[in-house]
Amino acid sequence: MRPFEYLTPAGLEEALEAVAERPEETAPIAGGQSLLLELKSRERAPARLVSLAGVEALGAVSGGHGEIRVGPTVTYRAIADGEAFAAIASRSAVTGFLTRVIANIADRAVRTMATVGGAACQAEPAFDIPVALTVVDAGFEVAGASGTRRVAAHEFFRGVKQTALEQGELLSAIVVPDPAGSWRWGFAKQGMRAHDAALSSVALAVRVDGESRVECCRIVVGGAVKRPSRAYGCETWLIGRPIGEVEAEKLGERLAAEVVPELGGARFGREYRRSLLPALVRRALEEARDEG
Amino acid sequence: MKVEITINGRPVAGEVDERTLLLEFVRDVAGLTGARNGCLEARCGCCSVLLDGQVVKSCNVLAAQADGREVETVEGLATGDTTTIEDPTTEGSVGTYVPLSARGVDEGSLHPLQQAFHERGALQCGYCTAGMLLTLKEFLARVPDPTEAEVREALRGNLCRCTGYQSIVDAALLAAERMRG
Amino acid sequence: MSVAADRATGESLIGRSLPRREDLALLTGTAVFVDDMRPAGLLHARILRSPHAHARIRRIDLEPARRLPGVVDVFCGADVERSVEPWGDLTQDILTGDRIAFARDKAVYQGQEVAVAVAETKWQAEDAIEAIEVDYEPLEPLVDPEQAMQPDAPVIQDGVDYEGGVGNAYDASYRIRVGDFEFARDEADVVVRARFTTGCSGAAALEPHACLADYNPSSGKLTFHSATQMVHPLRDGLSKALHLPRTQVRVVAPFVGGGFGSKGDVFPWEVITAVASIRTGRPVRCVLSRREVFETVPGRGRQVRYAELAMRADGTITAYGERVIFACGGVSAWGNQILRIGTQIGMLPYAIPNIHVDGFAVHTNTGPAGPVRGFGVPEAIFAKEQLVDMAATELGLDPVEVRLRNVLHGDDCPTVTPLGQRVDSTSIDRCLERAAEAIDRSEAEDVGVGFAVCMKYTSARHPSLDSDLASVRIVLETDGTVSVFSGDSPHGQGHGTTVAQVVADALGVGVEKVRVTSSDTETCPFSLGTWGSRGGAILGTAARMAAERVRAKLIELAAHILETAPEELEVAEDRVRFVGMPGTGLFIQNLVLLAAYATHQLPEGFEPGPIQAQATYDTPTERERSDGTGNLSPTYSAAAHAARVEVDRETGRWRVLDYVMAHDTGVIINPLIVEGQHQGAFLHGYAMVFGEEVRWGEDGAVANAGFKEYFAPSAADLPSLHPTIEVPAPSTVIPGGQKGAGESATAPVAATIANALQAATGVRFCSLPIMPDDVKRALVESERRGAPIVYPRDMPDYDGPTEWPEPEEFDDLELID
Repeated sequence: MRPFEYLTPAGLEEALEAVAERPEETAPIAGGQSLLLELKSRERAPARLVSLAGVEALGAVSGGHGEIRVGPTVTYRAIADGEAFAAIASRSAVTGFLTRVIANIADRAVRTMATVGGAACQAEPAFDIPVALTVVDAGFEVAGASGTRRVAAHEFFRGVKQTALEQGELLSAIVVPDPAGSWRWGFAKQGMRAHDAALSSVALAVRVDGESRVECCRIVVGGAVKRPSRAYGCETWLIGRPIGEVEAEKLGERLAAEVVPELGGARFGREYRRSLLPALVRRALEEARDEG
Repeated sequence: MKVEITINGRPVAGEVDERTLLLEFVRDVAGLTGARNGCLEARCGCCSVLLDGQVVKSCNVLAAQADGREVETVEGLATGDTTTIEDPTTEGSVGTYVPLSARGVDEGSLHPLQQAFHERGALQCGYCTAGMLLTLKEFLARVPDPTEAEVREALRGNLCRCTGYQSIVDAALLAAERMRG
Repeated sequence: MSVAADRATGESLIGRSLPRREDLALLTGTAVFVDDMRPAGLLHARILRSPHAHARIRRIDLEPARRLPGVVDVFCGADVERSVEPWGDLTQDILTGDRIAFARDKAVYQGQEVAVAVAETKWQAEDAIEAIEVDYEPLEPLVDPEQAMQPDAPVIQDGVDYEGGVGNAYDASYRIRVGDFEFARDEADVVVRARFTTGCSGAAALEPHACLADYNPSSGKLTFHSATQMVHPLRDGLSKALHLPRTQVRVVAPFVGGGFGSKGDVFPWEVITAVASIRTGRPVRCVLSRREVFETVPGRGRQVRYAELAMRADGTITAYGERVIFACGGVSAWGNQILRIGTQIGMLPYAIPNIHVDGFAVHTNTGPAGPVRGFGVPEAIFAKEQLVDMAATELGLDPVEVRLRNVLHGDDCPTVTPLGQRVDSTSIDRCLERAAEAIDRSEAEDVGVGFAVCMKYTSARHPSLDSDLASVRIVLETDGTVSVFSGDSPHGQGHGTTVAQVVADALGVGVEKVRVTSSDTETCPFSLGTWGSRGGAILGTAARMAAERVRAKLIELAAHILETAPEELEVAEDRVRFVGMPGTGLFIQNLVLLAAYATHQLPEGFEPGPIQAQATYDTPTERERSDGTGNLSPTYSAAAHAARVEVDRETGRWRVLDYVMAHDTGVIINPLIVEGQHQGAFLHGYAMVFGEEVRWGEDGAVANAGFKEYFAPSAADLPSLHPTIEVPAPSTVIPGGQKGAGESATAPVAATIANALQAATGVRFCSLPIMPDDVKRALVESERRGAPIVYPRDMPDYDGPTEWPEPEEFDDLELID
């Protein structure tokens, strides 16, 4: 690590000021689980860290009017342990879905510190948060000197470690739709070890009608691609089919054919990551059927 | 910057460089070296401590982030005074081997996890042990009656290179049973 | 629990699962490792390492670093040219000269030491090495050992003359010539062969390598704490490199956080840290980062084996041939020793009558290869035990039956194999039967069962280290407690308990009275260190011998006082007593007091003063002969493993459903500790298959120098383990009957799982590790062809060698005994 000053603003405005003053030399820190790794390896060397931990507004969770606002500094642990959403009456079970996904990220010690907003802003392709927030069609409230703007998930995640955040801006809330209607959710990933990030991941959201037919859906792939990637072709194919009778194998074949994997190394190359997709979408579909 | 952290119930304050990791604060400022540097990558878990009762990898937390909070380290697990133990001269204790009291420690003063690790041979070089103990302490508080698979999952962020893990898992299950009473 | 030796009741401390005495300090966080020491005035050293795998160093400018705050010293190779001399491995005569503190004109692997900064804080030292300017001229790196062996390949160590070396094959002289290999092969009913490769898994001990040098300028003495497996060889290496008399160098091993072979050497950073302390006159510590550990600490090194096995129709193995190419990295650590010992011991547990091996230890522009749990035996077993299955399959024989036909049988022991290995006792035949009984062999879809057997040396006489000794000194203190001084420093093995059991047993005292000191060259007699599964058998024997010498003195003294014959007396219950009569005789404490404080009561000729003894045990082993034969180990432990493995065809992931280990570890001193050794050794074998591998790119850069992508498994990635099935066949050479425990459970794991995977999928995996993408790709290709395949040879994108190399001529080397 190189030297830095450490600021602890108490409010959002103060935090924005601290960030905006020397934006190119400043890094906000929430849980720090990604940032500190980069500081220790000297990949990044900001002269100033602005801690968001003391900004109460950034750690709040609220619900109502068909959406749930998740503060970016809410930790994985608070969600996994059911604390964060305890007071929220979700009508779509989206909170249960996010809880399941987040409870299986990394390991317990990392989940204690890691935050939803931190992972979203880090925008690592292997991370589950960008994939999960895309499949629930989250909106991202971005605060800056000129006020607050809202960015849709598909615009927020721009590439490997790239988001729509401009220098001097802060993510101020993640807005998760809590839609009416019968939505079901599923997520599956494959890493190397139990605690590893995903080589490939698939998230699925479907709304079914009174006869359990898929009315609308989103299928999002992560890990193998530079940013969470919708599989529009598969989504179209899925619409109108009874959720209980979807042939998972066919869906898997289609998904593997549709998604163009962009990432891969000497180990776990693109083709392998692609080959995981059928199994993953099947598991995601099963979870959506079982868990609702 | 000034940082004050309550460690094992005792406030410890220090004027430290902003870059100081919680691990370094605990080891170099508080002088408690039970939490260890195994990778500094938040991977091996040798540095695990409890922060406000929750397990963290102290190599990936700044001391500044823990300012004003409570930390528990392995040194806080046993209730008795175990810091000044010397090797024994057990004059007169002919032919009797009492594993720990011979070293001046009442067995009852060890945490049930420490006791179970000792009995089951759940440590060899001992470098990962402190992190294992604290991770398991937090886990068993949440899941008092775990399955073997749950214990293994709970330990997925803690590496051990000596034991092959089975003895650690067995010790965790034994301690859980005793802690349930 | 009453735990003392008492001959009256026949109770012995040997075979008791005593919980370890070293646990308390570790469990409570009070144990002191190198990084926990807090000497006044401590400085921190950080080493600048070559970012290039192969590069000329044109110029090094240290000045910018020297000007930074907190920096006390900065130096590089040119600064210590006259004061530090190159060293070899211990006393290896043939390899001296390429171990150096800093790369001078040329860096030969990524991570090689180039310069060091010593500063008041770790951050300042880190800043300082960033400020050093080095002008490199990158050279073509040689990463592949077979390419490095090509006649036109540039020679990496061009300034060193290696006896027995040819080009980059710095040891090209390894040969086994037993029987008539070619004749036997031509006569055989079936010959199978394959090219096997094994990856460079690391030891990845959780304590990063660390040392603390403290040079006292007024006395000229260097006190050196190191996370080492061998205090005396390290002391000798440091002394030699630094031109210091050995009286002036004291090496101490405090608690050491795992080693598995990787901490048994004299390392450049140790020499550099010592020099830094001498130059600054202050204590200096160097702790490697995890990245440095993966880049520069020796891992297994990659091995290539062209291996073939010949079998008669009845299943008898008649011949075995190998060409072994070992990528040893840029400098010569233990590479050629591993090649030789691993290959030779790897031929067991079979008495193969015709063997032809050509072996080459090859320099490559990669990090050095060195010992990691198993010392080359797992690599050899991975090839041979798969070939046994391949031959059995061709002949339609059962893999268990064919092994039972070939393994050494306990009833035939002692026996000498055609390779000259004298196997004093074994139960490998029964281990195999027990393992086969214990595993579920029923058929299920995508499930396979595999077997492998091995023997493992119990310590060894190295080809270029003609010694296999351990020394112990025992002192009876004046309160009846017992101090044991041993230079064989443990790093997790529990010597403080095991050795105490041996000594307490021999002296008839409670085990709590015995204290095994930490290894310190100033107090402990010369010993070779802890490696090669030698603790229980070799150190244990030395401890037993020393204790017996002390016992004889006690009995002589007691006989004089009690006015009886020594034969009437024995030791038990902390006393010397009349045979079989509890409560009689004299307390040992009183006898020791007499010897120290009441010397007029001593018998004539009895040396007054502390009652003590030193003993050295050197194994009755042979040096390797030039035809590769010889009995390198005093006794051989054995293991038969069986695995039931399931493959997920969709993801390529494999999972061990059940794993059985049946072992011969001879007489076990502490079953709790030995079980831990077996289960830990299993982990290192499993890791070789699972995915542990340091990978170098074509540019010689390490692609995965961290736990993020070096796939060390967690508890959630490992199968449950049953207690090991022990089938003890006590050694008849080691007086206590012990056999090595630390590595026998590493050696067969990779072959066992590979054989199970073949049974499950039809794919013969010839390359380690066997990761999900390998499996998936192989399954796809096998399905496409509609036939079993050999991986990676049969893959469409296989770009490795396709020619089978010719065996070297018989007379290409002078075979002299």
